[in-house]
Amino acid sequence: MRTAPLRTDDVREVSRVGQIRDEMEPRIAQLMDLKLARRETGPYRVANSQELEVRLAAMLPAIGQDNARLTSFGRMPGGASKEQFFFAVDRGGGEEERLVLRVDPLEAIVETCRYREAEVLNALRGIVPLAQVRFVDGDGSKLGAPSMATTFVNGVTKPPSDGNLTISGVGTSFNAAWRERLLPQFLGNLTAIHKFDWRKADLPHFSAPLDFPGQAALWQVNWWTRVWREDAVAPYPMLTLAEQWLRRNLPECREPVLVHGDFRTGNFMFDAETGEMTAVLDWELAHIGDFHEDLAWILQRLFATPAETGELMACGLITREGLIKAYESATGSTVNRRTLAFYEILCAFKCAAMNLGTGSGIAARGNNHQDVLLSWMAPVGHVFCNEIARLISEEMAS
Amino acid sequence: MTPGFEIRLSSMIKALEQVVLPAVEPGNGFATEQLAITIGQLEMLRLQWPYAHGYAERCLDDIVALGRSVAHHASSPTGDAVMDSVLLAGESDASSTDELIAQRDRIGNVICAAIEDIAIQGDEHKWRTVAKLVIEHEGLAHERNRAWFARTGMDPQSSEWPPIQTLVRQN
Repeated sequence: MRTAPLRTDDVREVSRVGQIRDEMEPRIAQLMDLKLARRETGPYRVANSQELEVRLAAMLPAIGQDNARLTSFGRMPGGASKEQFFFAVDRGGGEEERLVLRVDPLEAIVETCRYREAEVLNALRGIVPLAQVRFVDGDGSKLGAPSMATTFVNGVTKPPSDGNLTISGVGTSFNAAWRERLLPQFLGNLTAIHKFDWRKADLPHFSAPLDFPGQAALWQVNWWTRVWREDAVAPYPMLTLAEQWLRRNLPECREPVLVHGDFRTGNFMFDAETGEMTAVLDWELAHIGDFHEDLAWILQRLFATPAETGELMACGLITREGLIKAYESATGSTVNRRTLAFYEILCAFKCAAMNLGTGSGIAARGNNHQDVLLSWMAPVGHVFCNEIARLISEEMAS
Repeated sequence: MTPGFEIRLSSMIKALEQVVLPAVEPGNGFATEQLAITIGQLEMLRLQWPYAHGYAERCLDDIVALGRSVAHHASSPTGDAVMDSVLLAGESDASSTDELIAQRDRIGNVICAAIEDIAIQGDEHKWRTVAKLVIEHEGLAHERNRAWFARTGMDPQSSEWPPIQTLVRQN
């Protein structure tokens, strides 16, 4: 039994000197162990839609859809992380329900857990707009690979007038009228997630960093530096430096919140006519942690686009200072600028690791359904390396 | 070498754009998306190919320069390992692009080990010095890398980078 609480300074020192790398959320560590074992079984063959359709039709009774009949099935585009399919079921009344099936490929740009994703979607039902979970095959015992089906949500992820080809919402911009409609909902959903009382929720596959104040940050540093170490295809001194900087500068978090983990433009849908948000998407990186992490993600340079005036807008919606002030006003929390800088560097590190490391490695092993997309996206990691350099320079100068 | 890479890549792009793409079922967004990216990759390869060796040379030159600076500030044995690999690269007459890349990676690995070593030693002056060197190196690397991949359209500042032929020499 621990006799005195750990001090963050001690943890920083141990992290720097001893390089404690095993201290991370247990389920995440387990997923990463499984990934290492699974990757050796590649290369991956893109899921055969017809085989999957047959398996899905056969499993409907096993997932509580006793009288349901599969009426349509097909592949959806996009999805650098999971293979995506649409399907519809008729439960006998002649009324179809449209659903979306997401299936894990052998390796994905992020290694995540379908149980966790379903748990958080169920927990937040009625709090923010969401797709509803219809079934989870978390260990892949029914469909052959971990998967989850949710209701199909109508809506768009970018304004109908924006004809630009964008990947994963990157580069999406909004004019003043769209910003006025979307920004209050964007901030409202973010603060609702952070105010959610996760302690009372049923989240059995989640753990909370409550042992010492630096644990939230240390778990994230250890998660993403492990991703980089295991997935890197070439050494990048800038990322090694960033890891060491992060270990030396772990911030404290005394009131962890539910963090979405990928809260940005491209990951919410809205009605193309009214602008009403219909769903917050992509919950696979959700975890219990520091609220600064979601703010830092929103502020990543790659997700920013200029307004009509040329001013850079985070996620195309709001200025940096505007976001900080609006968040403080809505939550009563104080945004600590140094903690925010730490998480901006960590988030840029994550993106660099995902793209230069995981995406390139998967494409090299041929272990995903979108190898060609992953190798196309990988160079974006250089944008994040440069952001890390800029941010660390600023922090070291301050 | 006849037909050369340029002819073969151009003819593949034409076939995919003018024959295969129109033949893809309009509702098959997955295939259309992957085909569009494939065409984009082939076009980028066609433009990069004449400069690939020069690009690898630049990468190696830059990492050698960083290695020399880091070795000067890192204490042995890691510093010695960096210097050894840097000297080895200097003496070697690697001729293929793959050999240049492998050398770059070998030196990069020992530099990364040295950075970790310096961080663990806890000498604040050394740490700040090495951090400054790595950040300066990143300034060179990012311009070269982002210019090289500007055509992916994923870089918000892609219009700011110089043409690749101004950064690296032709094969």
